Amino acid sequence: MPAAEASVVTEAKWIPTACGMCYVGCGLRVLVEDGVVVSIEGNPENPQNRGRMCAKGKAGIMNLYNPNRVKVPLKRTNPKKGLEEDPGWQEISWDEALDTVVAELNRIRDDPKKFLIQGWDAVGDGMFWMKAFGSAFGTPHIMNAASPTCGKVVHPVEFFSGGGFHQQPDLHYTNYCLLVGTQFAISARGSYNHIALDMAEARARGMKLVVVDPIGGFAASKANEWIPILPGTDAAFALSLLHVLLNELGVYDEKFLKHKTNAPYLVGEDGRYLRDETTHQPLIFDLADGKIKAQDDPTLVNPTLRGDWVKDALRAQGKPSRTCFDALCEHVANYSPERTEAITTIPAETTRRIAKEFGEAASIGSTITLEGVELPFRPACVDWAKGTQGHAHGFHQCWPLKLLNLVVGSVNVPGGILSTAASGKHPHQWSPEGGTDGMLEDGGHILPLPHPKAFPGRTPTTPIRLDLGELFPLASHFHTLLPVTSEDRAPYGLTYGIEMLLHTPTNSLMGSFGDIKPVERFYQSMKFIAGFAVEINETNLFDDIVLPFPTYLERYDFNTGSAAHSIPPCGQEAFHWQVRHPVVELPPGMRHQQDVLVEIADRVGILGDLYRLLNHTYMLKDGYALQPGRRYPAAEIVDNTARQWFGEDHNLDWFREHGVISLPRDIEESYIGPYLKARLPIYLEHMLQKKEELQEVLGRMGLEWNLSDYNPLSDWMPCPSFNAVQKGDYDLIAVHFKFPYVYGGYGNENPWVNELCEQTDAYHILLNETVAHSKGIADGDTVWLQSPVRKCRAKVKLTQCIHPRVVGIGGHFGHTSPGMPIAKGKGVSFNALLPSDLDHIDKISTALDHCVEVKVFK
Amino acid sequence: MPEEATIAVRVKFMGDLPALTGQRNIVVQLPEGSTAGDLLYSLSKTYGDPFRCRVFSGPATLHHYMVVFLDGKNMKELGGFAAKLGNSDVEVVMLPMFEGG
Repeated sequence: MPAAEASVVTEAKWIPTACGMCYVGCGLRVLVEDGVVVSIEGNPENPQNRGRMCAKGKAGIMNLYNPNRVKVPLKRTNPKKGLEEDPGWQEISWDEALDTVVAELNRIRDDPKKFLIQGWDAVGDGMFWMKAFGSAFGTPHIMNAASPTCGKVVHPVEFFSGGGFHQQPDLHYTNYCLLVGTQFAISARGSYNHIALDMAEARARGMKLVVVDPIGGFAASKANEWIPILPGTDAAFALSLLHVLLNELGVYDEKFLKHKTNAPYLVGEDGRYLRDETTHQPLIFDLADGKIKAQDDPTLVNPTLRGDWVKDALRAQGKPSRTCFDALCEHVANYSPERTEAITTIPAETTRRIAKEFGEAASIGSTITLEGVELPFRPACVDWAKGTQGHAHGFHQCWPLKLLNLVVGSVNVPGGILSTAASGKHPHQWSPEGGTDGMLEDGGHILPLPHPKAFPGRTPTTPIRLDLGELFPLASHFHTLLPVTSEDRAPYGLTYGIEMLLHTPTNSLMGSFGDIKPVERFYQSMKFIAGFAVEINETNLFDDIVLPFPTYLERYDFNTGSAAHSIPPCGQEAFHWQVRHPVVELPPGMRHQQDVLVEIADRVGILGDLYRLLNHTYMLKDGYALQPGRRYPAAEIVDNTARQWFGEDHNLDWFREHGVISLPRDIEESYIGPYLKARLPIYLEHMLQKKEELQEVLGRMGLEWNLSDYNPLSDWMPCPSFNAVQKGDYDLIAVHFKFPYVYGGYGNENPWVNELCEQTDAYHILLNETVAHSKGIADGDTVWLQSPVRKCRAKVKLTQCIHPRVVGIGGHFGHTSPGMPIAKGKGVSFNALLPSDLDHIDKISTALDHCVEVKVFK
Repeated sequence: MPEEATIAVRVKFMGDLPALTGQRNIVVQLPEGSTAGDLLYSLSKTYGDPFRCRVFSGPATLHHYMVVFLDGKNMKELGGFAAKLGNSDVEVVMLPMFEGG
C-alpha cells in the first residue's frame, strides 16, 4: 500500500506525532486504543521538547473530544451580523458550502484585491497554504499574523541585526540574563519546553536572572531580581544602561564594534554616511595610516571608533563628521540614570548597578573553545519581546535593548543573544548574507519565503492596500489599522472595500486588532465571509459559511510549528523535523483543509498557480513538484514533501513510525557570529532616507504624519497612556501578560485549561494591593475597568507584585460566543480596551500600543 | 527593411501585483533574444513608478519578496535578469512576507 494511503492504526499503540496546542509544535506520543486517544505524552526522541510537555499539550485530548466542535459545514440564515446576533446556523452539504464559496470568489475574480485572507495557522501547513491561496488569487490583503503586536519588531530587527527569525539568550553559557518585557523560558516563547529546562539548569548553575517588567509574574518569580518599570519606558531604561556602559564605565567590545558593525562608519552633520565618491560605499578613518577609506577597502586595517581628535582631523580634511559610535555615545549621554528615573521609576542607582553587572558579566575579550573552535565568549545578554514591542514607539522601545548586546559583542557567540534558525545545513544550506553598505541585509531562513526585515526597506508610495502597507516601508506586516482605514478611506485616496474574507480558525476578530467596535463594523461590512472552524468563536459568528476544521490530532502537516523552521532551540542543539499525521480518523464527513483549498482553487481556476507557489514554498522540484490538473490529497503532498526533503527512505510512513528526524548542528551553524560576512548596525542611517521618502509621499497625499520615529538613534518617546496619566485623566496603565498554560484562544474552551485558569485566578485582573486599598477595593471584588474605548466588569486579584501604577490583564479571554460555553463570560478581552488609530501604533512596525490608560472603580 | 522578429511572452501577475496592474494576465511582445531583465524593464515602463518601486530594490535588483518564474522555473536558477526568453510563460509574484506572532 502506498505510504500516503496507509490507514489509521486501530489497535492500542503509542503513535508519534506533533502537538498543535500552540505555535511551537512539540513532539508527542499519543496512546490510541480502539481508535480513541486515551493519553498524550512528550516524545523523548524529539530533541526539541525532549519528552517534556506543558499543561496545554496534556489537555489537548479535550480539544479533540470537545462536544461543541463543528463537524459539518454550516450556513447562516440570519443575514444580520453582530456579536450579539444568532447566525441561525443550518447544516449544509460540502457541495453547497463550496458552491457558495466558489461563486463568491468568482464574483470578485476580476478585482481580487477585495479579497482578504486571514491566514494565521502557525500550528501547521495552513499558514503557508492560505498565503499561497491568497497570492494565487491575486490579493495583497493577506494577514500573516494573528496579533497586532507580537513579532512586529523582533523579527524585522533580528533579521538585520542577528540574521535569524527571533532571538534567544544562550542559556547554555550565559551567566547574566536580563529579561525586559518578556517571560522568556519561564512562561512563553518558541521551543518553550526545551528552553524552560535550559533556564532551570542555567539558574541552578548560578546564572543571574534579572527581570524588568511592570508585573512581577512567572518570570519574576524565578528571578534573582525583579525590577518594576512603568510600561512604555523601556527605551529610557535601555538608553541609560548604554550611557553608563559607554560613557561612564567605558565598557564596550572595541574589536567587535570596529570590524563587525558600522560603528566606525563616518556620518556627516546631516546624519548621513560619508561616502566614497566613486563607489558610494560608506567611509571609515583608518588609524593605521590616517587615511579615509571605503568600508570594503582591502587595505583597511584599524578602523577608528571614537575620539575628538578624529573629528578634528576629519574637519581639517574638509569632511566634518564623526563615527557612528561617537554619535551613539554622544546621543545616549542625554539619558543619565537620574533623568530616566523620573520616566521609568527605576532608581538611578539600580540602573547604574545593572549596567555595571551586565558589563562585567560580558567578560569582553574572553574566549571559549567548543569542539576545537575558539570563539568569543560573552556570557551576558539582554532579551526582550512582546512587552517592549507593543507601544506607540515600539521599534525604539526595543532597538536600544538590542544595542546593549551589540556594544558588548554579545551577539551570536557563546553566552550571548542568539539568532534563531539563522543558519543551517539540513536539508540544504542557508545562512544570512550581507548586502547594502556592507551591512547584514538578508537573513537566513530554511524556507525560501521573504523574511521580514527593516533594512534597507521598501520605497514608500501611494497606497493601493487598504491597510496602508505602502506607508510603512520598514514594517513586515500591516493589518493593525485595517478596520479603521477600511471605513475611513478617503484621506488615502482609496475607493474600494474588502468584500470577502476567508479565514482560519484563529479568532482574528478578538485577537488581531484593538478596540472591538470598529472591528465588529469591519466584519459586518464584508459581503461574504467563509471561515474554517473547530468551534464557533466570535469571528465565526460573522461567517456566512463555516467549514469544519480538523484538530491537530487528525491533521496532515509537513510543517508542524515554529520549533522546526523558525524558533528552534539555539546553540549546540540538533536540527530536527517531524511531520503531523492523524492518530485518529477524521469524524465522518470532515475534510482536510488542504483538500478543501485544492478543490476551491481548482474550481476557481487557480490550482496551477496555487501549486506553483506551494512548490516554491516547500521547495518541491522535478518529480516531487505538484503538477497542475490533478487534485493531490493532503497525505500525498506531505509524503511527497518528506521524500523531497529527506530522501526516499524518509517518507510519511517513516515519520509515522519514527516521529522525528534529528541531525547534529556544527559550531558554524550554532554560533554564526564569527562566520558572518557582514556588519551589524549600531546606527540606522537608512531611517533618514525612509523619512525623506515618506515625507514626499505623504506631502503629495496631503497627509501630515509625525515621523519622529524615523531616526538613526533611538529616543524615548512617551506612549499616549503615559501622557494621559501625567495629565490626570486616568491614574493607571493596563498591560497584558502571558500564562504558560494559555496560548491565544486555543485552549480557552478546553475544560482542563479552564480549570487551571480558575484555580489560579487567571480570569482576574491584577492590581497593586496598596493602590487597591486606597480605592476601597478588596481581593476578589468585582469592579469597573474603563479605558478610553471600553468599559467592562472584572474581578480583581490583589498583589504586591505589580507596579503601583499598573493593571495586569492576562490571557486572551472575554469570550461572548455561545459556541464556547466554557469560556463564555470569563475574564477580560485586553485587546478590546485598546484605542486603535494612527496615534496608537508604532509608525515603523505598525505594532499596536499595548499599554492603555484605565480607571478601576467599584 | 526586414521586420524585427518578436516573441510573445505571456505574463501572469500574482500576489500584490494584480491590484496594481489591474490585470492578472497580459501578453508582452518583445524582440527576439530578450531577457527576463528586458521583460521586467518593459513592465516598469508600462506600469510606471508604482510598479518599479514595489518590484525593484535597486538597479537590476529585485526586492527580496519578488519571485519570477520562467516556464515554471525560478528565474534565479536560470541566470537571473540575463535569462533568455522565448515565447515563454512568465509568472511575476510579489509574495507576502513571512511573519510571526
